[in-house]
Amino acid sequence: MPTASNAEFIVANLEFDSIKSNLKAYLSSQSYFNDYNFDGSNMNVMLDVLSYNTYYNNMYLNHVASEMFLDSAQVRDSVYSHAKKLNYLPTSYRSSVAYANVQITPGDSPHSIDIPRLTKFTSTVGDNTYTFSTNSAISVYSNNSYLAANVALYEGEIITEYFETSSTSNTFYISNYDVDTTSISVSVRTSNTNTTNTEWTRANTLFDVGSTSNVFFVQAAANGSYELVFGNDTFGRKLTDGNIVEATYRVSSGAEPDGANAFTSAGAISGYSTVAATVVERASGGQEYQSLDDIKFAAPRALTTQERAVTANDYKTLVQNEFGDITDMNVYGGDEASPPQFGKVVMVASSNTYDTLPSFQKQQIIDFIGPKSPLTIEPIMQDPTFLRIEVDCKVTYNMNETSSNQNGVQTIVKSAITTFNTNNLGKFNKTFRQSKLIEKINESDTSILSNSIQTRMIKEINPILNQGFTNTVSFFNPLRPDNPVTVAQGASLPYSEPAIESGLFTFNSTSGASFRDDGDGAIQIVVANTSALTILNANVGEVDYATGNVTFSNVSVNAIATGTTIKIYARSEDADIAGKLNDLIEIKTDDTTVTVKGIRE
Amino acid sequence: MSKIQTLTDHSIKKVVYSDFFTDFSRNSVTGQLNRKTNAEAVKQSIRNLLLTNRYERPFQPEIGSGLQGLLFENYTPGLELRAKKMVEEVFDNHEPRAELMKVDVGGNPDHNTLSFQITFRIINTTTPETLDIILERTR
Repeated sequence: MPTASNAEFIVANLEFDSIKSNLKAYLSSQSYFNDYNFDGSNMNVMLDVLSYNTYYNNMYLNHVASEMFLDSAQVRDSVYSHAKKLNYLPTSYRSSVAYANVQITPGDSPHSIDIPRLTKFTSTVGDNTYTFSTNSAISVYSNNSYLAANVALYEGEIITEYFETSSTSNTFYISNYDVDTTSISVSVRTSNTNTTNTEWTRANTLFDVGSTSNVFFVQAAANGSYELVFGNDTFGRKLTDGNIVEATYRVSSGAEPDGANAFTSAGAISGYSTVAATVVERASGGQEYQSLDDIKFAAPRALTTQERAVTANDYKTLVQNEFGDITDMNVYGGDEASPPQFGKVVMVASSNTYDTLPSFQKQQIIDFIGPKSPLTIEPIMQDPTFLRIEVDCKVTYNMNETSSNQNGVQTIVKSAITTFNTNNLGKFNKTFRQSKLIEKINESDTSILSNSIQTRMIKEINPILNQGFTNTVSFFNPLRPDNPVTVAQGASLPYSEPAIESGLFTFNSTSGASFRDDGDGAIQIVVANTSALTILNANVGEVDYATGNVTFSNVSVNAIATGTTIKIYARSEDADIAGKLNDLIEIKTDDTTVTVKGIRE
Repeated sequence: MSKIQTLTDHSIKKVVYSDFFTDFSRNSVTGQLNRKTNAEAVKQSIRNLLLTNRYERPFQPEIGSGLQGLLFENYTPGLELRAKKMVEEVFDNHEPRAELMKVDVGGNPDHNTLSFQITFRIINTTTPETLDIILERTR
């Protein structure tokens, strides 16, 4: 039989049709069997089988190769396996947690009442009812009116699984993939007939783990779940045959119960059925298990942090990995703070649940990061502050180029500003670039010919009325002073463009008063009349134009014209405005003014 | 699809079409696979096509006739017409080497069989070729 030449045989194709074409091309160099081109021939059927087999192997190897690398793996089990090699534990489901004051009203007068661990409460969110439970035992006493304050209630069904130890395995698979791994507690009995439990604790590292330590480890397992791993008598005590492992944990509903704010006791507590739970903090912080993309991002970075918080990025990576609802974070040394706080690390976080994190969550973060920080460093949490930007935009558009009227163009421009804010601002360490916004406005509609923007920064102060108010507002951007105006108190001065202005309030029983600077570093209180400003107090503070710090000294405000806060406006020296330290920079629709002028050209 | 080569009566000994046997039978002397050539190769191809169901060949759902599906239909005069149409479609769509001349379909409902006598000629030849196929249930 003549043989075919393989000089032209191509092996790089992956598709069925291409493979079959290659085989046909290969066979075309022989003439012994030449029916390979006809659909019904045996030769053609044989080529189908060969092509299918090759295609099948291609697909198989492609999948195998993809799953071999963290970057390309698609199967959760594969990603978990890669993460395990990097000593990274993917975040499990997390229970929503709410804080409530629990008040028991007994019919008699006991000295104390115990609220056992895992006492259940129910709450309804939408159409669903969720079970919440306490995570530790609490005692309330008669001298405190049987009140337990700030009790943490964790959402989730309580599940207990039993495993019998055999000589072949010291690893036990948790049956529920929606387990909250932070809730796992383990106790061990020596045998089925022994009723004495020993509590074992969870270890995350081998530090301080000896051969007799009663510890267990949690590691990722198949099907998105987790497994319990016990020691080997070198690191952690080894289980012996016949030991019964009792694992209790919560099965969480993820973020669905977030927002729960009314709780009812699911039954009597220590025999007392009159129980009232008053919410202190509504439920929040629930999350589903970590997405594959998140694991791919976090696992290599977690390896570099080695579970230790040293650099700012370590803090961010560790905290954002542990608390899934933290959307953005800034971390800086206390020496940069104003005023400086040496020996501290300041963490500022924003969440998709809260504008400012509730105190319990801030404490959770500190408790989590504290043991990972260097010995002499104290991590502290601060709330984000909002540096708002007032935008006064003047737009000229060509009426011949659009069917929209002035209101229509105005709406388009406002929408462009909102989109710019969403895409570019709202996170820590972002800088507002004025020229970029001008570009976006020009691009928002073909009819727009030009636009100009004037901006002011806004921060708010919240003075207690009729009391001396002393505070420093930091804009963290250099300010642009106007020409100094040095006139005496009670005198009038012309309108100008000072670096600092404010909203209106009542001062010394004079309404319509506002703050402004004199161009020479002093903060004044003025009131406007028809043609000029009258100075009510020539010096109630100072402004540092270089740093953007504005200090108010012992100012007594009688009333605030609008709302409960006074807006402080500041003109930046530069067109670009940077958000630093705690500042989240944002443009609000309320602070945006768009003036539109139509021309024909 | 490849170019169809010319096969004339005078060059009938020239091997234009060649395929191996369905049972992979080998020459007992040389050990090579036996060949079916020319008309026999085309007949084998037509038989393969008629006995193949659509979606049977990987990634080529259009290849086949669907004749086997008729075995489970009630025997009616319309059934013969459908069977005939299926044979015609196979020739039109998948066997460019042959031109169908005639299809006789005979049914034996008592034995659950359909018999086909297909007369065709290979392109560029004048000799009619006949192919008999009987379809019956195997169980």
